[in-house]
Amino acid sequence: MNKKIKKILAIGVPILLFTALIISSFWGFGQKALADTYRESTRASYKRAFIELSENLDEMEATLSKLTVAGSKYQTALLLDDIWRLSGASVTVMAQIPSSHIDTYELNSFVVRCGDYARELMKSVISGKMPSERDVEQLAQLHNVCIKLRDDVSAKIASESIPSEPITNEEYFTASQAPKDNDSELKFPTLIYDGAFSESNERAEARGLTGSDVSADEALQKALEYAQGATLSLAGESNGSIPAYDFSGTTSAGMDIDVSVTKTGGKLLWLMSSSSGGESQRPDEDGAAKLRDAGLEYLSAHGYGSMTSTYAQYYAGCVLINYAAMQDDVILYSDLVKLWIDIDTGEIIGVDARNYLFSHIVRDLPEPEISEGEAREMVSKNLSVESIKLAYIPLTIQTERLCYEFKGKCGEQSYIIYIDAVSGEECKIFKIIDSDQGQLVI
Amino acid sequence: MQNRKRYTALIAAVIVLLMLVIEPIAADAAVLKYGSRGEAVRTVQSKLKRWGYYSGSVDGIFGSGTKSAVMYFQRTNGLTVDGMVGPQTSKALGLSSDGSVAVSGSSSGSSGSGDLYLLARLVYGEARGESYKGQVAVAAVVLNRVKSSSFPNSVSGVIYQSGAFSVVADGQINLEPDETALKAAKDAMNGWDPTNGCLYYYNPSKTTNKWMLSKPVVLTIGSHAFFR
Repeated sequence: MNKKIKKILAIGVPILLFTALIISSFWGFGQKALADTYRESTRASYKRAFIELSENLDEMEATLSKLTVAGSKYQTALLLDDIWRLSGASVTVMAQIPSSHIDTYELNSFVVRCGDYARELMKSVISGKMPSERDVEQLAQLHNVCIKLRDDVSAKIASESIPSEPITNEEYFTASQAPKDNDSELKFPTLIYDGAFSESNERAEARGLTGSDVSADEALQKALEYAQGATLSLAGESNGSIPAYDFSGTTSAGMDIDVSVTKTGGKLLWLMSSSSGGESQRPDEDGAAKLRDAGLEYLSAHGYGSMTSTYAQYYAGCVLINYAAMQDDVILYSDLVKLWIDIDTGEIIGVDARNYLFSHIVRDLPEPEISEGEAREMVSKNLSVESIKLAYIPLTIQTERLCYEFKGKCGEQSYIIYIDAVSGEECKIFKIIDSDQGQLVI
Repeated sequence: MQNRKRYTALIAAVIVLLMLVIEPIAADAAVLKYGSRGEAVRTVQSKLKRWGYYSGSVDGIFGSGTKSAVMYFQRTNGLTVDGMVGPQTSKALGLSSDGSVAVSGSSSGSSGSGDLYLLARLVYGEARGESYKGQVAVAAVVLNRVKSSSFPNSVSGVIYQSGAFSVVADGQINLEPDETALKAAKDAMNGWDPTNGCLYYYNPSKTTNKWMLSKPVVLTIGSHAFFR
C-alpha cells in the first residue's frame, strides 16, 4: 500500500505540475495577448490625439495667414470664429496626450488664449469694428508662433516620437526635456486683450479690498464678530489670490468652524461650519422668504447694507443664497456674497465674500440711452416678459455693462435676456432650469 | 487500473480547481422589481434620490414611486425601460448584483450627474482621510485648474489628464464616493475655495518631486500642502 502511494506520487506529482505549467502558460499567453491589445489601443488613441493636434495646428496656421489679407468684417469674423473653434479642439486633444505638465503648460495657455482672444476680437468685429493696428500686429505674432508649433509637432510625427505610454503622477510634474538654450526656445507672445483667460485677468487683484494691513490679532477679532461665541485659534496664513489669515475652532454649539479673514483691510473672506445635519428638503414659499430675510438681516448687521437675493439652491439640509449688491436700484451681479443657511434652525453656517471683495467699488454707472420700452421692442417676440430690472452685468472680469434684465418664458421654459441700456445690444441669454434643489442658470 | 482511475480523477479535480481560480464565475444577478423589499431596495432608492430621479422616501419598499423613478433613470441613461433593476440597470447605478456598493472597474459614465459626481469620486479617492475642509480644498484645486489657461478646460479633462492624479492610474477614482465627498464637491462647485486660488497640492511627507518642493507653499490643510 505504502509502495503504491509512493508510485502514485512519483508519477502523479510531475504530471500534475506539468499540467499546471501547461495551463498557466496558456493563461499567460492569453493575458499577454490581452495586454498587447490594450497597449495598442491606448497607443492608437494617443497617436490619434497627436495627429489631430497636428491637423488642428495646420488649419490654424492657414486661418491665421488668411486673416492677414482679410479685408471685410464678414471674412474676418468667420476666420476668427475658426480660430476659436480650433483652439478649443486643440486644448481638448492636448488633454489626451500624456505629457509633463511642466513641459506643456505654457503651450496650453498659449492655445487657450489664442482662442479666447479670437473670440473677443470676433465680438468686436461683429458689432462693427475691424481689428485695430495692435490687433493686426498680435495676429501676425500668433501666426509666427503657430508656424513653429506646427513644424515642431509634424517633426515629432515624422520621427515617430509620439508619447506612447501613460505617465505617472511623478512624471507629470517633472520636466522631461532639459531646458534648452534661450535662443532656440519658442517664446510665446503676451497677448493684450480683455478676456476670461487673458493674463491681466488671471492676475487680477481684489479691487474691493482697501485699507491697511491688519495683524493676526485684529483679524481674529473680526473673525469672532462673525462667529460669535466660538473658540478660534490661528490655523495658518495663506498668501493666495487674496492673502488671508485662517482660523479654526468650535462654535458655541460644538460644531467645527473655519474662518478666513483678509490681511488687507481685515475683511471676512469666508466662514464655514457644519450644519445641524438635518434632512430638511426645500421649504415652501413662506419658509424660503423667511430664510432669505434671515440672510439679509445677517448681512446688514455685518455692514453689507444694500443687498438683494438673486439665487437659491437647497441641498444637504441647508440653502445657499446668493446676494448681490445694489447701487441706485441697479443690481451689481459681480458683487456677490453667498450665504449658507441651515433650513431647520435658520442659522448662518457659511459665508463666502470672495466675489464681493474682488469687485466691489462704487461704480460709475452710465445713464441709460434707450428707454425700457425701446429695449423691450428689441427682445425676441417669443419671450413673454414677466419682469424688467436694471442690472450691471460682468461680460469679462474687467468689463461690465448696464443692461435691462428681462425675465420671461417661452412655452414652459424660463429665460433671462440682457439688453445693453446704452447701445441696445443683446448681451447675454440665460436659460433657467428648475430642479428640486433650486434654479440652475446656464 | 483502480489507481489509474483515482489519479485521473485527481488530475481532473486539480484542473477544475485551476479553472476555477483562473476564470471567476459570473454571479447571477437578483432582479429587484415592484414589490421587492429590503436593504437592496433602500440602496437603489437613496442612489436615485441623490441623483435627482426619485423624490419619495427611502423606505426599502419598491412601490410605484420607485418604479417610475427607475424608469426615469433607465430612459435618461439609454437602458431598456422596464422599471426593474436587473444587471444592466444595477451596473448603471454603480451597484453590484446583491445591492451592495460595487467597485466598478469599468467606466460607469452613464451614472451620476456628470461633473459633480466625478469630482466627488476624485475627492473620495484623493482625500477621504482628510478633514472636511481638506476635501473641499482638493475639489477647489480641480475647479481652479478648469478656470486656469494652463490646464484643460473641463472637469473631466483636468481629472483624466494622464498622470495628473495618481488615483486615476490605480483605479481608486472608481470607488463609490461617500456623502461627505459629495457635499465637499458641491460646496467647492458653489464657490467655497479654502485654498485661496491654488492649482497644486502635494503630501510633503510622501513627495520627492523637485519641482513641487521648489514652490512656495500657500497653505497647509491636514497632510496636503497647497501652492499656486
